Amino acid sequence: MRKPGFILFFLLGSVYWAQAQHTANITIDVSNVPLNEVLNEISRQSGADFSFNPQQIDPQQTISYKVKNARLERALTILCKKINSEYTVIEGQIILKLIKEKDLPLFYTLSGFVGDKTTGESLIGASVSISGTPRGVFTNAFGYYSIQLEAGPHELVYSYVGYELEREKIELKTNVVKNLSLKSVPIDLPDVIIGLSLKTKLESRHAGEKELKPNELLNMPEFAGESGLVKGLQSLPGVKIHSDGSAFFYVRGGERDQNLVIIDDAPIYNPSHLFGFYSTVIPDFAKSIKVYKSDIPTDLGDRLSSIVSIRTKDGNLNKFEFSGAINPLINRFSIETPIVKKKGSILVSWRRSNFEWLYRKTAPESKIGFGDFNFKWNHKLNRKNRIFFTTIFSGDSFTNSVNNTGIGWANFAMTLRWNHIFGPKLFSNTTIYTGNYGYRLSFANNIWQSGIGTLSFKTDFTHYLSPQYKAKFGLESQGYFINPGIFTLDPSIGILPEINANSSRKFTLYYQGTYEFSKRLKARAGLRMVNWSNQGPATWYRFDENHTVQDTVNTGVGEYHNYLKLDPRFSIQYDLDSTSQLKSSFGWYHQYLQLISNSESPFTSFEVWLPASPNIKPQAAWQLDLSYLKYLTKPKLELTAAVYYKKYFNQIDYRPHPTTLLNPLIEGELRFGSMHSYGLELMLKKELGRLNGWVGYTYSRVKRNTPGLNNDADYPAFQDRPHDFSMMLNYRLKRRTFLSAYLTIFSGSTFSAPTGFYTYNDQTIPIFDEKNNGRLPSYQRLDLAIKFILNKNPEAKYKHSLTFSVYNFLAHKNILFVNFNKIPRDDAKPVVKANLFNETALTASQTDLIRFFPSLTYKFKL
Amino acid sequence: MLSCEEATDWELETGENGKLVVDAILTDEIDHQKIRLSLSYDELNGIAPKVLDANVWVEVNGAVFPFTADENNFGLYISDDPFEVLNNLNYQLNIEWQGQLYQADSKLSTVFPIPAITFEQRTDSTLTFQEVPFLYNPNQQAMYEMEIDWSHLSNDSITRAKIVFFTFSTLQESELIRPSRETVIFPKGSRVFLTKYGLNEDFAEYLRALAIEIYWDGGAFYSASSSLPTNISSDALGYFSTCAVLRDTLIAE
Repeated sequence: MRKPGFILFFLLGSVYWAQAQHTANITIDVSNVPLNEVLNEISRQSGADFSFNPQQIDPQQTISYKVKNARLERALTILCKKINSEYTVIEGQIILKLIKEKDLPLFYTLSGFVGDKTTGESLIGASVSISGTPRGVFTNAFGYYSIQLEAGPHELVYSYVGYELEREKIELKTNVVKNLSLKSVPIDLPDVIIGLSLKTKLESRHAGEKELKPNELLNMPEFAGESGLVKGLQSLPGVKIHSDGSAFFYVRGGERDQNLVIIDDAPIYNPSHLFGFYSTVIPDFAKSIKVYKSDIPTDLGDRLSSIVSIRTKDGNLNKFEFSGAINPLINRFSIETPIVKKKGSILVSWRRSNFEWLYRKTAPESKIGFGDFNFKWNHKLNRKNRIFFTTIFSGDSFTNSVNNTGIGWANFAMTLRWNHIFGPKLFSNTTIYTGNYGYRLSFANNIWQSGIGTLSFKTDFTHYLSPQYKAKFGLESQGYFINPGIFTLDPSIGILPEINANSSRKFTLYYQGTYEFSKRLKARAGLRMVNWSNQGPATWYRFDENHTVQDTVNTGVGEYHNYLKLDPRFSIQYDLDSTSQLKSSFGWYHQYLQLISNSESPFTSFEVWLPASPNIKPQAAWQLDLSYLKYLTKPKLELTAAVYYKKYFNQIDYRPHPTTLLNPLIEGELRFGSMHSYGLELMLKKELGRLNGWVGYTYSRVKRNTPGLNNDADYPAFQDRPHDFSMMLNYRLKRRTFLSAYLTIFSGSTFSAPTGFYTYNDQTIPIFDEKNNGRLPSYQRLDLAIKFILNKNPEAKYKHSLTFSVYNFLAHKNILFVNFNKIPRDDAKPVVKANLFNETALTASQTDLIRFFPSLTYKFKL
Repeated sequence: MLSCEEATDWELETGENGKLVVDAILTDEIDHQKIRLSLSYDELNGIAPKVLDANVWVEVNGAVFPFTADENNFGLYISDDPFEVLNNLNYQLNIEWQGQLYQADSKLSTVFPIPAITFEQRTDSTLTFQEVPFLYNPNQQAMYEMEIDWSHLSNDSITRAKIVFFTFSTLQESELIRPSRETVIFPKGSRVFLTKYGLNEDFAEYLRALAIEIYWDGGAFYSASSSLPTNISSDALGYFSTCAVLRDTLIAE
């Protein structure tokens, strides 16, 4: 049939085409049959004739074709799609013509930034969609978007939660840069906040990623003037806090050092103030807080459990703004001002505690306090280049001026960033950052100091290759400098061992592609490759199987040990319908830095960080999770459910009673084992309306196994808390009065409880059998807050509000720890027995931290 | 509002108690050496059952020193003959009880001179003692037993105190920031009987664990608990050690 130059016209009927078009309905259901059979059948049912060039359209090609009771026009459209053709009707005859490459629609790229109309602040995660289609994109961490569209007219819809929706009509004839500003609705009126469409919501969700909006954080009842990052994180399913007053948190069973908090990419090693009661993140300084629990993007790492990525505000590009909060215990102030209008601005935040008055009578010698200073400068050099500079400094000091005893710690982070748009499809972000943390403890003339510092260069690219495919790739080079602890001791006491500082380097390459197979199916795959190397000169020790030193190795300058690890990560997302979605992800993770501490205390104590080294293999984990998301349209509720299983390797444990402080042979105190965790996380959320909030429940378990400990049997980890329920509710009582309540109830932590005692030299010695065989009582806390907006006019220039909060309203005793080595005293706390001739019986004693804590905060914005 | 600690009743699961407990420090002083044997028990303030029917002897370099149960002090075993622990010899403790042989070995430690002891004067002119200056020494680990007697000065119900404190070659977080401890107050003129025990590495390890569990636990920086190590075989508890000792008697001023 097929010969070059030969044109064959098939004539299958011609007379009643026009009539048939309007009257005949086609029904065909065939699989893998030659095209000409389908054409014959259509002709038979409709009476229409076909003509085409068989050199272009092969009549013998096999196709599957199914239409039921379809009009001819519809039947032809479906057929043409299958054979990549188009049809025209000329004088009652259907002419089929192959669509040539040049006939395919032309695509152009629409790109730009989306920002806030009032402040010029770029909006992260704003939606840019095409009206009437399911297509759309979201702005990245810098407010940038890029989408490829067919040439021709389009109606664009720009939307963002809390902002008025914007529609824009464009005629695409070439690549277009479209920057757009959205107008925010007046603050504190959640019932009028514009929500996103269901489709947009579905698209915006990524498996394992939770966003904690600063506004949500600010709406939570406060503790002494602030809600706090960790308290906010705790409200998310799968995240557990250590206890009251602690900055430590655990994600999906992982250890506390397996979470990384980054602010504008720079790591914050200790994100806490006042031992954890406050966060180092000043709420007014944050623009977006994202928590990655699984399917962590390959550009982020290297921690096994979570990455908390905080993006800071850029600063108002249009006008001067002054805001703050005043509380009896803490004050904070922020200034934002344009340097060059619409081009460059600065943001300065300052916070300081002022609760010295609390101790003035009871402990006049105490000097207790903390402070923060944050600075950000950004400048748009031109349409393609923008630079940012962020500095964060935070410090705590708790000293007793009489005996010169105290603790202090400080974080310092700095980021210099350059955003560059190579073209509408390629966005780059190059960053140099440093993150440093130092800890100091002093008593009398003795001072302990430790620290960790990072210097990093990272360049990251986002490539919008096609309407279906987006790639993210880049490289990062980091240096780590660790001082595991030096002690300056009163020479009359003795000379302490010298612990050498160490340095390591990390070089990372990563690539991640996101591909939309169809409107419903999307997949993401990526690979992170890390080369970790220990740098000399250094002295390290080789241990035998009994953990005793076998050899001392002195190395020269340069690399003396390295690990090369590959972390593949995959995820797949399928929209079951327009309101529900199923996602699954699998990923490998490695971690090269570890916090060495046998402490179970909730408080920041002696922080000793150690790198992966010849004796410490990188920690590793893989995680498989499956999540389901459903929007219930009638009650406007969002239901999420997730199950996960996670397996950890090279997990650090300790021999009984280890010496982790000032021990040159500290690696010999470590034991290595495995851990596994699994769980179910449920969350029901109502984002908008007069009553909004969320309810979450998590069932999870985490078990450890370390050869040589606990008779080699599994034991529950400290953070193994099977049940965890939390509820956050916001209710608009009146137009300017808001109530909020946060309730959390979770199983108590495990601890090793004695199972017997013996007497040695008049002392009562506890006996322990299985590790972590005991469990503290469940933790329960209800926090309440009432907020009054003091402005009658929501558009008023000077906005101010008053918030009254009570932390632990029910004054529930949330037990931190239980001891069995103390004796009771009348009207005083139990104390450790010192006089062994004292016949007072020992007692179990329990400690809780905060039973009821009211606070009053005045907030303003000018 | 903040940080409340209170006595409580706490239900403990009990383990397999009734294990043999050895409390034995032999010294380098020529004397009737003493060993105390008891059993482990369930309750926090339980009374340790005494072991009355054990055969106890110490072997060293072919010599055997038998011990006999003291009928006036149940659980106490006293060597039949006085003897001193000598340097560089391995002393083996043997206990035969209920058909089971329990053994442990120890070598004599050295002891360095007792440093100057000072007492802290309180506002009411009474005295107390701070062991902080003794906490750390990289070269000489030691245990101090300080018995204070002011029965000759007072008719109060409590006129005696025994304080135990340690010097170790390591530092612990919970040691540096310790929980509140009972303040032992005594009048000026009290008699103080001080014994310093030099510790070998293994015994120091045992006592360090002991201090972590019973003296330093319960403060802000507590750590995971574990049973103390032991050098007694056959799943017994406690410790057998041989220590060089120094003694001093002073009047508290």
